[in-house]
Amino acid sequence: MKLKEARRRLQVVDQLPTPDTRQLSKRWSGTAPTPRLAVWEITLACDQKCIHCGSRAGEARPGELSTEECLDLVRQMREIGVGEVVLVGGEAYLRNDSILIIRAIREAGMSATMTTGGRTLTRARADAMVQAGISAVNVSIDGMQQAHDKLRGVQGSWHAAFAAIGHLRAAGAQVHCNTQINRLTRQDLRPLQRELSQAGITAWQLQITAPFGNAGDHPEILLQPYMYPELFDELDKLADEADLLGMKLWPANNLGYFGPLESRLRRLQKRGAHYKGCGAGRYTLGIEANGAIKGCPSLGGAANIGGYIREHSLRQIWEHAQELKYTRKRTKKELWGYCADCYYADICRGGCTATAEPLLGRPGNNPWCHHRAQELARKGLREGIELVSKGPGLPFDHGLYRLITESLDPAQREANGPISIEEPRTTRVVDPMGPGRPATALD
Amino acid sequence: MREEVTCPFCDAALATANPWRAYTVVIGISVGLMATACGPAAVDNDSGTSGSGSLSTTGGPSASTQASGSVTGAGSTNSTGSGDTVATTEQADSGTDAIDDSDDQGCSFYAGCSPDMGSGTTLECDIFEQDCPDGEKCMAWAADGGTWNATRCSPLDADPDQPGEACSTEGGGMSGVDSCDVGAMCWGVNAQSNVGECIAMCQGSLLDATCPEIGTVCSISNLDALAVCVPGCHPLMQDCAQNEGCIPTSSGEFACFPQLGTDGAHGEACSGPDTCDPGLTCVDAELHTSCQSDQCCSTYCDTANTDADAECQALDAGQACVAWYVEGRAPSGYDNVGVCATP
Repeated sequence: MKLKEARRRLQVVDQLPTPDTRQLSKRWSGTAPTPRLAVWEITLACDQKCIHCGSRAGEARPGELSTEECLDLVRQMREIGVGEVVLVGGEAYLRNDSILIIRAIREAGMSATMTTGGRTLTRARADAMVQAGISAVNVSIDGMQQAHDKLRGVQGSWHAAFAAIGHLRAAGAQVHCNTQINRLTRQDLRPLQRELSQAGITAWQLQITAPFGNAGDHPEILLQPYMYPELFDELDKLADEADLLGMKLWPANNLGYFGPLESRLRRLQKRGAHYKGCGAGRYTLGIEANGAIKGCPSLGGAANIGGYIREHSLRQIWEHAQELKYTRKRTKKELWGYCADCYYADICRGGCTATAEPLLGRPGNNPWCHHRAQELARKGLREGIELVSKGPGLPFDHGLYRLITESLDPAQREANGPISIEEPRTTRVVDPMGPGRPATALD
Repeated sequence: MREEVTCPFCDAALATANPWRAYTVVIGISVGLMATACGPAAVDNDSGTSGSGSLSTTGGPSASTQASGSVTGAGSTNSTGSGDTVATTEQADSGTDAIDDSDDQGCSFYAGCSPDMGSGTTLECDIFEQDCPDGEKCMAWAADGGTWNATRCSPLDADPDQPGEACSTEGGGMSGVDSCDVGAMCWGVNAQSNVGECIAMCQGSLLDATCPEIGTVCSISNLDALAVCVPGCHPLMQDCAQNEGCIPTSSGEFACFPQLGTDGAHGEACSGPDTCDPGLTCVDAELHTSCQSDQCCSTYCDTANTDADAECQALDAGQACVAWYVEGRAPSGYDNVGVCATP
């Protein structure tokens, strides 16, 4: 469908309903929780070649949903209580019917947002999105120009992203930004913050690059857990600067946990201003372009996909699929390693599932944690990760890493080597619940 | 009634789970909040089983709070009845996730910031810290013209009024600009005259809020923007002033607030406890057998009254008088507070 054709089909309406939000409105009691935030990959087609892309986007998925199927799925999302739908890709705007989907989401009473790299987000596309009723657009900018273009695999991508911000703002859209923190971008955060502020950005999401999809194949860009204390010192400075700039920082759910900055960073996001565990399958719903339904937008495969919308209703999958119930059912018994004995184990439960599972094979032990890094440092220890094997090359797949505990002191580290090594564990396909066990070749 | 734990890493005083907290009053709009814990003691057991007779209720359409146990629909599902099945299905789990994340913003890598993040409707200063420059005070205000949903530094009156004294506002009762002193705000403002009475704002911290005057309780609501000390009351006595209702607060205590509604009879739809008639509160539809909305008003009852169940049944055949608080966790003098609900 051409953009002009899609815009012709966009009926002019005087006023769209006041949109619902992603905010949790009701405590889960009884059957299943209500999914408030749906993250929907409407196509895997993409105009960039990101070396850290979790979904390994590029070409469209085989069997992507038709326009009519998408519009029906919008209806089903509202029926089960979704408040905000985030369109992602690939690059969501490459489907010109995305503006019809945006309008349908808004007409159904939900917020419609989009997260984009913005490389070819033209003024015409921006106008169409605003005309359709887009509630906000999040533009992904990973570091300053050199780092961003390298990560995106496309020269000129950084400038194109800022151009997209300009187009969107000129069209009247609410625009925010998000940035992945990794070894290429961590030194860029403060200059980038100033660039974003000058571009009119007042809300900025920060997250670490997690090792799924393409990113899992690039250990050289992943943060080492022992870098966390230094990273959070930098985040503290970013927060100071944000106050001066009138910018709000928004830590994604893999940036934490429970260190001295926890309440400062999550003040706007969480009641009580602290992380409360993974919301995937509890309040967040993920959808792949072929209609696969999952709890976590950032995980895929057999352990996470609960069913397909062409075969079952969204309600049936959300309420009954075992794969979506993992985070509803899990307890401290699913934790292992350091996290099993952590002071915050009950409430944190190993942090972001989409970050922990791709690293060590199963969730429940997450070394990317400020509290953990600080506590280990107090004992003279630090943790590092090392690639064991790459993933098979599928969207949202992952390889495996091992976790190495060693002395914080370089001399002792050199002299004594690792203190302990935690090998990857069995997947949730093999051991659905519990802490798993060290994986063997058969697993 | 709060158990204190000091979070060794957040550097904050933490309140552990307060099992008898129940409702949150939402002032002007049904957006309720209450302090939650940071440490592990905040989390109830993982089984999700409820304490005896306590309720899961809501304070309004966009707010929810709870007593520690919650009424669960054991084994029930909301099947569409379409006949379709999922290969790896089982009966939907019943139970309650114990982490109180009502009013949180969902989050995901791909989702980015929530749409309203850039709108400025945030807490620009701290009500408890009163961290504004000299000559200003931190005040709740209605950033979007609706109800209180943000804080900001407002100019301090040259001769400020004290709690208990008459006060005036500029630009309406929710403008955040008034004649009260630091730590106080103009309350009950008459829409025509812009005159009200100064009341104290809560002191301490969000997680450890206190009120200096005996007989008042701290109510935190409206996205943490509003934290005011209001007169305490007893829901069975309805001992508030005229046109006020005895309404549950964020701390689990009851306090007097203006009644927004006058037509909230038992079983009628409501959007918050302050929209029901005095003597009633707003509960989830599942606690009624005849409620035709998401929430409906339900009558407080005295669990020590042997006729209480019958009186509830007379209002709704499926209801009984159910204890408001978890057994053994009610504040002194509130042991007998109950509400008509499906057991």
